[in-house]
Amino acid sequence: MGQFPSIFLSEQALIKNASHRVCICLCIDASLSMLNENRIGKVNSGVRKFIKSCQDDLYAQGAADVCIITFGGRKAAIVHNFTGVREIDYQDIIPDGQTPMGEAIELALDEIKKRKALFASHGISSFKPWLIIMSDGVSTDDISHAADRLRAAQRAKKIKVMCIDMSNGTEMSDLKKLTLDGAVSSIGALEIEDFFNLLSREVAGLSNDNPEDYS
Amino acid sequence: MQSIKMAYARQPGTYHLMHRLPCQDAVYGCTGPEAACIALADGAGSIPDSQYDAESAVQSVARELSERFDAWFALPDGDFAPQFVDFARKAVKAAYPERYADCTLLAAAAAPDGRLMLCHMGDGVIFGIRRDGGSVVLSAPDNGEMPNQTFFLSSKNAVEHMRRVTVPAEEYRTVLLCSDGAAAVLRHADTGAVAPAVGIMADWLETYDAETVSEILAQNLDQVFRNQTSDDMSIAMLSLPAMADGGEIEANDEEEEDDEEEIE
Repeated sequence: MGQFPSIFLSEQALIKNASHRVCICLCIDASLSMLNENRIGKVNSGVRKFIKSCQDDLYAQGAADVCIITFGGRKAAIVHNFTGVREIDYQDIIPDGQTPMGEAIELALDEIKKRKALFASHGISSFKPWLIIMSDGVSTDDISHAADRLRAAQRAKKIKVMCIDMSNGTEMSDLKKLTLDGAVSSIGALEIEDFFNLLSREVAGLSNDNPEDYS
Repeated sequence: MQSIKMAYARQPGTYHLMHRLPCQDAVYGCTGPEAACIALADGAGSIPDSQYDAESAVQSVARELSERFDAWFALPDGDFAPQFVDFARKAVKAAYPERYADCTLLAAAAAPDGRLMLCHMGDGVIFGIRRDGGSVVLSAPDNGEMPNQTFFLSSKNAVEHMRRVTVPAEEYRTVLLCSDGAAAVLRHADTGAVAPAVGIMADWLETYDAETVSEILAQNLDQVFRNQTSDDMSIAMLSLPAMADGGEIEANDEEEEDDEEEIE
């Protein structure tokens, strides 16, 4: 076999394209009941690992924009505004008070809308945003308007929603109202970290073809 | 007498290397009684073993177009897509009965009389390098609604998304096919601007023999492109001599190269 010349393209000969972004909003129950079975401890640990996995992944580090909203006490709160996953400095969630889930979902939808508009204004392509709602209880505020908005967004294929029940199946009634088919994933405290591990792998997998049916 | 040359290469992406998965891109080129043809396919990332779909698709399509170019070229537009999709699906099924042709497909076939036919399903890009200078996109990626989703030969509406483009070969000196992994650094996603690298690679094919260029492509995919993209990468090129002179064909006689890294 003959020798082949070593001829390489320079970086200047190539195009640098920005990563397609994905907005991921974690909406997490921070009510007092999350102290049971140390659910909140597992969530905090899982979120930290999720963020670290995304930061360590070649694709996800440039693609994932993450926002974290809690619903506990009397109000929902944005604890981390949408930012690139590289810039997140996660602070543990400390549970307290009640479960204003409806307010949290409205807040999440507003923040996602603003983020998508920002991307559009800068010509940045983005995937369908993800909203992940994790709760172990029934909402203490009225979720009907939030649920209507969320279902409408799903019908319009504008958002991907995952509802995670941590009550061992006993308090799923409100979460079931948030998805079009009532689908809710029930996971125990021991499985919370597994869930976040899978989530980070899904984000990393966005770099590959992911065919969804086109009707 | 000038030669038609074909050169092609593929490399697994960093993502697949890290997860010990096979490269799902496939490339192939061959000559036949009616045309020279290059083909490239990218297996669906979420479908296990889709590299088999891609490999069987490129081989069957390239052979078919090189042997029966005239018949496919003559088909009216409305008949081409359903028949071509059907052919490709059946060819994959014949090779692997359990497979469904879950892959994209790009092909370029050139007849000695100057007819050039391009076929394109899904993402990836087909570039034309012009004789009078500059490079253009002859067929752009078809991504549907989302940036990283596309259409496959197996898609329910594949016929609607199978494109055929016929261009005058006298305007172009080279045609270059690439998968979306390589396209990430060869074409600006938003403006459509073409990277200078496209013309440079075409120059290689005019300077060196086909085998050498295939090796240079493989090295560049591995050591240069890989720094910019984590996806599988593949490129296939077909040079087009001035057809009025006729063209002898010098091509890689081997089957598609297997450049997969051995994972220890």
